[in-house]
Amino acid sequence: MNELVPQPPGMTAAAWRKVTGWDSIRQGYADYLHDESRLHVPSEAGATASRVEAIHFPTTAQEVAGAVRAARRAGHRVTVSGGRTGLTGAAVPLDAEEVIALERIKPKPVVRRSRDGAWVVRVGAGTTLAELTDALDHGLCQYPDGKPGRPLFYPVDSTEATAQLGGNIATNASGARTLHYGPTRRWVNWLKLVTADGRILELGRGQVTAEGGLILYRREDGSAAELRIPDLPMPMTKHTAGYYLKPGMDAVDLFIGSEGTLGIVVEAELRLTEKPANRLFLTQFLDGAEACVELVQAWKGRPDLPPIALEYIGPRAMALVRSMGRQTPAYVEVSRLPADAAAALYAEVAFEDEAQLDAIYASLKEMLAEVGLDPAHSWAGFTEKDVEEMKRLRHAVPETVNSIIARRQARVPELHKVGTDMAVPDESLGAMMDFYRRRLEECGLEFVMFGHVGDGHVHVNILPRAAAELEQGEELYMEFAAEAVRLGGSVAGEHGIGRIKKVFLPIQFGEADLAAMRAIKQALDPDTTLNPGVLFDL
Amino acid sequence: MHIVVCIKQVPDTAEVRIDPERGTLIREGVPSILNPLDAYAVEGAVALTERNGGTATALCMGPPQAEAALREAIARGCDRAILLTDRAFAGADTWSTSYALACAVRKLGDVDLVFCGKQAIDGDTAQVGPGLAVHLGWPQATYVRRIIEATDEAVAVERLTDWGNETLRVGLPAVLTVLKDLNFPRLPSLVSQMQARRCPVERWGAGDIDGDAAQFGLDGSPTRVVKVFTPPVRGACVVWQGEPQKTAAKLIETLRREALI
Repeated sequence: MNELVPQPPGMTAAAWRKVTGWDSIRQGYADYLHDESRLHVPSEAGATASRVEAIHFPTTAQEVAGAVRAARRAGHRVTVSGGRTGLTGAAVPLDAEEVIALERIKPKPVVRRSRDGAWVVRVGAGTTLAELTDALDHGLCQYPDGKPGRPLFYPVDSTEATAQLGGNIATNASGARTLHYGPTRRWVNWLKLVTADGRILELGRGQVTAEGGLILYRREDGSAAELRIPDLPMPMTKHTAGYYLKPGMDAVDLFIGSEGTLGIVVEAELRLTEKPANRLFLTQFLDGAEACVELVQAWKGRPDLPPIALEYIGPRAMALVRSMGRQTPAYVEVSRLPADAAAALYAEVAFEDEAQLDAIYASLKEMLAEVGLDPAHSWAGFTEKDVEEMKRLRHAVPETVNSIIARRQARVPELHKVGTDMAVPDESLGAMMDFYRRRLEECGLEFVMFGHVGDGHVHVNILPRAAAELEQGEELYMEFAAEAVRLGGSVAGEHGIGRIKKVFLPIQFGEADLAAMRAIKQALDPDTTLNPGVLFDL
Repeated sequence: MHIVVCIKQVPDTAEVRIDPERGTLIREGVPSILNPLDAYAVEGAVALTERNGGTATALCMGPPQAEAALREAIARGCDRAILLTDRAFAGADTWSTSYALACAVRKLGDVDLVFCGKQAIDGDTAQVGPGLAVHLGWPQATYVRRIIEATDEAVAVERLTDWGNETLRVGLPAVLTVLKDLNFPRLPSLVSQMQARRCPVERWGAGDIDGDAAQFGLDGSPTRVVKVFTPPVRGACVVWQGEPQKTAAKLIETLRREALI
């Protein structure tokens, strides 16, 4: 079947919580006016740019549909709001008059067996990643088919634990473990969505596919809109920029990663997987970036050492965190760093039993020796506690960058960090990292590099000291994006496009491809009710 | 110098959840960990042997699975690990536990110094370290935050008290219980973790430590739990709502009036 047929929501009393009036919102609900990007709705008294007149807190799909319908009746547009941990401003209601916050849609997760025997969990959009993990770990879900025999987990670990699952799906979130487990897309079985016209669409994987490059959307008046699915040149890397479009694609994939522009995710069924029996966590210290590229390449050539995650902390990032002394939240970890640890590669490897661990250790020693590294020059552990300590060092990098920028903003308010998000194929990792470093050094900019090196996805954070440097940094970002695409990569590996990265879409896709995307948006949301200003300016 | 570090395996209390419907503790998915405060004792002992020479022996009383805590101590630099494990020790209170540990220390024979963490995060009694010193008849310094000097005869330490820091010189052998301020416990390397996983952990039973069997385990424990209860809430609670600045000012004014600040 290739037809999407949303259902009317039925009668709903408008009983959900709702906050109205710009003044009440500005004063009491300022959190809903920004995310973790630099964007925010100006909240100064008298600001005229802001027109947010209502925030809805629905608890069910029917109520979300009711809120959408109410907004439409008033001629209003809607911004969908999740955990607001995004970095691209998609949840910032700059062009919308109403906000629908999904945080109250969090029924107790239901863990059951699906028809194919796999374990799945049904969650509300407002459940956070941390809450789901906690419920799974401590047996706090509902278990209509009985409890699973082995511990299960949801493996996508987008860095922010307060991220809500609805947001994770809308942005096709990924994280350190994406290297092994893939992004959110791979784990979504079924979605309950509210459409732009305020109806409810339940959509299971395998139910609706783009037969002959076409998906039909049944409008409320019974007529059908045609969604033409072109064959887009998709990069073979982590990628979250624009709509996912592929011949014969599953319609579920159209909504995943669409950043709330095609429908509002209110409920989802996610696949679960068995927790690895044991994991080895390793932070291998390095003398520089070259050693990291060499080690990653050696590692990826070893089928006997499948890593769950490979994360990088570059020399400048390490030096910056060290320079913070007691001011960094990772002060304890930093104090324990070996003096000559210039950079680091963090890795996770699963193992079943001691015999397998022995084999892994032998392979690790062999591989490290091949690239001239000493396994004693490392941190290693087997418990969650161990990994927490190691991760604090990794998290200290963006935290340190943010605090330095905040200090500079006191002097030059318009300054902000320039955080890049390109991913390139494995074979181009070294070339891309060299390109970053060479150009940044030529421009004399302050920067750090860190991130998902195993996925060819290293983040560059530029720390401008003055307005001119900010401009230069943003120009470099464009240059980097073009280079990443030239190398077969993506302009946005995981942060998405949102509002602030729209300029990168034309670098990734040709005008015809973008027109096809806009046509899909127009077919599903002709009045641009949902997330106006996100992905495209329409 | 031979240093013994006494450690305990405890449930990770940060992972304990309360069942919202029943109001009871959920034990499922709660991992066992090395008592976090003991990591400072391990680091203190290991650092001292690295500086002054000697060996560090980790000692733990508990069920067989407590071996994992001892392996962690090895990974963090201890040279030897001994697990006191026997059904005869089951149900021991702090008196009986410190008695059994003291017997083991005495059995080791050449011990100069015992390090303990300030307290364990499950029972929070802070009694085992001092109890050990009493059973051994050794001097003790509790709440140690700094080791100023250590020789073969004595250690000079700074301990935290309610009224400030106190500097003590303690003749050896002695028992120290230590605070977080003492050091930054190291993170083990891949090599040391793997060595720890493969090294032998000695197991000693009640028959191996030459003690008075009547003092072991539940029978040797004078502590009786008469009742477990939640203390009643004392005093009325006042909730102020309003502008943060005004409310904060009101709070400060009230605390001043009540002479609390």
